Amino acid sequence: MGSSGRRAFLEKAGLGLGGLALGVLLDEEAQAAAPVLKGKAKRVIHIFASGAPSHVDTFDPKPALERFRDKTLPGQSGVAFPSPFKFVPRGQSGLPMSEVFPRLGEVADELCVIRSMHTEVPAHGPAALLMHTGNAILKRPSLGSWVLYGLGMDNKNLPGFIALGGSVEWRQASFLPSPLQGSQAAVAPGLRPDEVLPNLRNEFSGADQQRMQLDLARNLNTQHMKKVQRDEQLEARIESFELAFRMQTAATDAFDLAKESKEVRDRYGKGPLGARLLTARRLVERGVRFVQVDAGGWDHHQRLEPNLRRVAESTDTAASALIKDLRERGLLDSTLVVWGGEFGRTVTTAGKVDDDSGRDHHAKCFSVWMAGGGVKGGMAHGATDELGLDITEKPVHIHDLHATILRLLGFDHTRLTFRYNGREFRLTDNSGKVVDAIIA
Amino acid sequence: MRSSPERAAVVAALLLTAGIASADEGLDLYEKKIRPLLAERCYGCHSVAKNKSKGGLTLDTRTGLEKGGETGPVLVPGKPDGSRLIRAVEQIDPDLEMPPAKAGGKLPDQQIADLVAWVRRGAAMPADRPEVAAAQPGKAHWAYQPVKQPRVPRLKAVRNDVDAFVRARLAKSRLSPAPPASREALIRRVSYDLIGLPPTLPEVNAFVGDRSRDAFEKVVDRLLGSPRFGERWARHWLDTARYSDTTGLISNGGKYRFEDFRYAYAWTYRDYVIRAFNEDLPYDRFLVEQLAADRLPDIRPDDPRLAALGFLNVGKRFNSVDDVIDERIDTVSKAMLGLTVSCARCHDHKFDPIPTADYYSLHGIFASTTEPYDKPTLVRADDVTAREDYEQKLAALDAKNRDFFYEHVRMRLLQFQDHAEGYLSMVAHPVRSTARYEVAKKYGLWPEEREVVNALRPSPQHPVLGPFAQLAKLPAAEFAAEARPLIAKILASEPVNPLIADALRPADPKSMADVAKIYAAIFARARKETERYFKERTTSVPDLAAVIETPYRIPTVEEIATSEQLMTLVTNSGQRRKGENGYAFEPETARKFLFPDINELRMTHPGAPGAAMVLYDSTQPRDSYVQLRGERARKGPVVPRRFLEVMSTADRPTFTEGSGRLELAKAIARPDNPLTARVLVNRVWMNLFGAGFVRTPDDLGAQSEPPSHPELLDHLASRFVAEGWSVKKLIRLVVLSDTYRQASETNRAGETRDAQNRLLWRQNMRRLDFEAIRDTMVFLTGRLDHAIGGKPVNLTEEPYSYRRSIYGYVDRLALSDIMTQFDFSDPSMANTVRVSTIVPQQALFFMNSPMSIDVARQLVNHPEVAQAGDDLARVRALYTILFQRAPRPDEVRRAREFVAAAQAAPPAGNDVAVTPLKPRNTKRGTKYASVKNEGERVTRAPLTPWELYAQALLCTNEFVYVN
Repeated sequence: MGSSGRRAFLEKAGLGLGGLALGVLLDEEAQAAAPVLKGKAKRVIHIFASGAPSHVDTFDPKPALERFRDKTLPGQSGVAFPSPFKFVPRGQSGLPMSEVFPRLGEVADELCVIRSMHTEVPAHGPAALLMHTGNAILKRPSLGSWVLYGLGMDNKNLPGFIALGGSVEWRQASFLPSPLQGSQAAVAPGLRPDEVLPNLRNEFSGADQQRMQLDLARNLNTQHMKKVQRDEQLEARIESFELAFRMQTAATDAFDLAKESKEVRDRYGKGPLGARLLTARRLVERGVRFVQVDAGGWDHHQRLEPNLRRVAESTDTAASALIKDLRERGLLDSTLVVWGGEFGRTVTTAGKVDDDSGRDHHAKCFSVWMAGGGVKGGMAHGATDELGLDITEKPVHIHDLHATILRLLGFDHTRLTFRYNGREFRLTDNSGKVVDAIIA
Repeated sequence: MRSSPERAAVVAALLLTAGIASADEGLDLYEKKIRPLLAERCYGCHSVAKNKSKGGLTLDTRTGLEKGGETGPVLVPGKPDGSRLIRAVEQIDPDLEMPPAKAGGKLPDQQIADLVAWVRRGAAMPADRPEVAAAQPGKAHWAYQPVKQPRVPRLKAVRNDVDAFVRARLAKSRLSPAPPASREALIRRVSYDLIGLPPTLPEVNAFVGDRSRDAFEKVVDRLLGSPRFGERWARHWLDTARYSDTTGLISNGGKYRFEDFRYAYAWTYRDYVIRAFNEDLPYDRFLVEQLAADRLPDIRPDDPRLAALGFLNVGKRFNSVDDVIDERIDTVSKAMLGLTVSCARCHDHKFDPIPTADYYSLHGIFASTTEPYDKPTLVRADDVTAREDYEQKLAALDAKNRDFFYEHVRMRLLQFQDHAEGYLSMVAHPVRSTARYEVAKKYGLWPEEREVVNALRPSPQHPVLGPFAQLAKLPAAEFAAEARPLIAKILASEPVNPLIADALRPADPKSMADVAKIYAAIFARARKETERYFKERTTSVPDLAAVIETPYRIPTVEEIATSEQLMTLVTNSGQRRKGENGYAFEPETARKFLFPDINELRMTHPGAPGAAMVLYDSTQPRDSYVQLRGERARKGPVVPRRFLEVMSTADRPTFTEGSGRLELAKAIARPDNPLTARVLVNRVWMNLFGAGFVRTPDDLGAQSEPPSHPELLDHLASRFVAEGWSVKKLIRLVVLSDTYRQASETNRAGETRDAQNRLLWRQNMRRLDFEAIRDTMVFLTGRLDHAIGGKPVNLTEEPYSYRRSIYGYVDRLALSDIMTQFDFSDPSMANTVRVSTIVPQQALFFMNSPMSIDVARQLVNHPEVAQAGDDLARVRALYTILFQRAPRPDEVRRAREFVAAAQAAPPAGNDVAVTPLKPRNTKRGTKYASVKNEGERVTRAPLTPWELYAQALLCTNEFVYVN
């Protein structure tokens, strides 16, 4: 990629150049790839069910466990703990779903469940990092940063990658240019936009005065840059003030849930997840490329039955509302919704099956689902064995999931690369296989 | 191969006595039969060369065969029967069949016989080639080799050794250093680097005007001697030590259900670190104190050094003990050794020579420690009135807790006594059984009250419920026949409450329902006296007291005088050992206790003391077993508590003093430890240049990049140790170098050949970090609080604190947005590197935050500015305060134009806020949120033109960068 391509990339990424030095990129050439394949998806909402939802209680029914209730299973600690929830076939496709998702079942035909996900480390920190960045240990750019890097910004007045909750590491740009880092917005029910994004509103000065201030600062900065070493950060920082200036209006509008009818707000549910997913819809509507939503609370080591039921209910309400809403607005085809945690859970419980029973961490298999954005609906991909211990068909590693997400956005994951520290880096490192079977 | 009659005789003797053939003969067998067979059938999954080690086992090297796999050794030379390898190929044990069916299944009988013969003869095989022996991953890696003392390159006209190494390396790449930085730039740089604050106007003037040869030395020594130095450098260490004021744990289980998510005393650790840096505590002692201050021979009960142990305790907490231990291993190894030892929790480290066994050697150390709820007090508040107020408030909370406890227990006891027959009949049946459900329905106890039910799981030794528990174990079919003999046996052997004994002795129960009735009658009797017992602690029959106190014991007021005692009581699983069942309080009950309020009082009340977050050795330290694949239930061999093999002396002593923490600390802080000094030197370098010799300061292992200046790193490390581990001396040496003092100007040769400036052909321009930015702003208000240490303050919310950022409250679960946006170190784990990102929220902070407004106003009020005679003088004063330089003419012109335009413009448009924002919602939506500061909010009023101008200057790049 020549310098014009690089410039195009930088501008796309909201780093407009204004005729100044390209800084480190002279050395570390960016290899931003415009979509090279046909992809339906233009944006992503990643609902991260942190804590690791149990697959056998949500999307991967294992009736055979009942036969072993309270019995030990070979190679497993504890005793078999059949799901306390019933599974029911939903939609025309008859996709089996746990009873805890009655409303999500209404959009079963939009869902593509992958039952054969597997990961590496059954510990939350590293596994969540792997899910978000493709690396469990090292600091690497997040999925959202890669997506924004590839697609560029669609709305210059809002950050292109916004995280509603979650850890900083999950939205880090790492070695990708810093504007590709996810911006955090603390969305919660009843919060005003200026409470969601701190300092969004100035309580002292007007827009005209602010404009004057920024013009002065920009002038001084331009002079300053002529005197000091070349650094792309200086340029980016100037642009960040312009973006911030525009954000004051644009974000105030985007984060204002009061602009939605009460009926719509109710559909998404009253809890934080409802507010977050409704915000996510408003953001993708405005061209935000990647919205990462922390929808945690799934770490059910104890008392799985009531605890999972409770957290599932808010997911059920909010996620089903989101899918329907996107569909009604004609956005579902171009918006990929991904739901899932960082690993699965054991099919056994410590001690014996009782009210306190819960499930521990299990990395060998788990389920995620996707909807919209060009995935096939109403299907389950891959399979686990009779007891939900191990994958028997079509394993899908996190790298494969990432490769598939990028493919749905029109990227060849092996070609979306960034040169850093002497070599080409990509989200999927040296692995990743696109799961063609789930692409419509 | 040498052969002689004598030798043959010896071999024959060995054969006769031990059944071991000569090595040569065995080797022959190995080469001819065994190696080919292993290669053909086993290497596919167990080969170093192929990088396959299923079950941790490799079979293509002697090292691998001798070591065995995850489950232990596979070979016992001379003893085929005792060798798992043989058991596996013979396929006797269905759980251990090798090769597996998918790899071709069982070996032919002849090959099994060969293997057996080979093992019987001693399982001889050739020694591994040295590179194979060293092939334990990464052992040859530079960081494990002893620190060298490289010869200092002889160069002319260099100021010190640092420059000699750096210049020599530059010359190799045909690069030359930048010219010296201007004095204004240099004093700004060194002030930020050493104390985290900009220089004052007089300081700048003094340095610029000082023509003496040691002008810069004077500045450096002043800064190193300033108490602000510790406040800056301690913060770097706190990043590494993943410092936080909160546990990061939201839990529904264990004792955490009662405890607060905040550490009331983390700040005493932070203050210890500040003190250590200010006093230049030798780094080796600094490390030892943080791991084992309590084990030092001269430690006193209220020794301030005890606060150092906060290092082990301020980390993120987890429900699982193993995860807490893992967190400690991770932090200790990254922080002190620059190694990622916790990678070896589930499997041998993939890149570094750290086997899983080493991980569990450290695991044993931390598993042999305990953390007391009651912590030694180190600091008392000076203000007597505040102290008294605190004591009163604490006593009031203690009393409330106690009252709630008694009331709750009373209520539960009455509830139980009223329905004793029902509850007891229920718990006689298994959990979730139909029978239990039916009983509960029959007695109207559905849904059951979990607390009562859970409390009714006493041990068989319980004086009141013990017989019930034992009888309940009888199978229903045999109950009628077995009950009486069992009762007789119990009464003969166990201490049973006389009232229960008397009732049971003549009884002939036919079912547990009958037993429940017998018990219920006694509890009915207790019911009548329970209310009185709560008030007066007396009963008509003394033995009735124990019945009333079933299933909940009622402690005396003295027993639960303090919340520590109460906490211990309600969370103590040790009750079971005493035959009781504890209180089994559910989370809903736990939440009603006021422990979080007590914690908040401790953390925020000005009269509250400071205590050390200590860790002690448990009374019975013990070794841990290897958890195969990191799973507790899968036990591997027990490993002794000792230091990592790769850094141990040949004898590799096991640790015997208590948990072994002190021995571990000493092993880390040994002068010849290859990593300890290098890790510290690398970090210091990073903080002075923006990047370390190795840019992953928490991982100098085999996966890290090679150091940019290996000889200089070693030179500084060996010198650091030789000069008594003095961090200040090290910093002084580096900042006095020309390398540090050079300008950050760029040049074409450098840009082309070393764009990342790894070779330091110039200084790096750096963005200030969060603390430096905020501290500067606070400093500019003229209100910076110079007090050192103390309880945490809120850094980002109004009313603002004027304390330095290191005194900020750090919540690892909910870091304040502004801190996150300015790349504050993520305290979820050791994180020494600060990234430097640019996001629009940073801009919004400068543009809109009341803090920015406050600073702009105070700047204009600054005497130098306020008393300036004209616009020029005013601009000049602002520039010197903000940027430590005079404005250029065009800058003055722009200032004039700006102010004139701002005066002409209407004060504020219609879009100025009319409704002030309400204070931001607390993150958690609970009453226990972040700490709050005392003080005033920033006045909401429009800014004057000069204030607007000053604020615009805060928005410039120059304000947040050092050259």
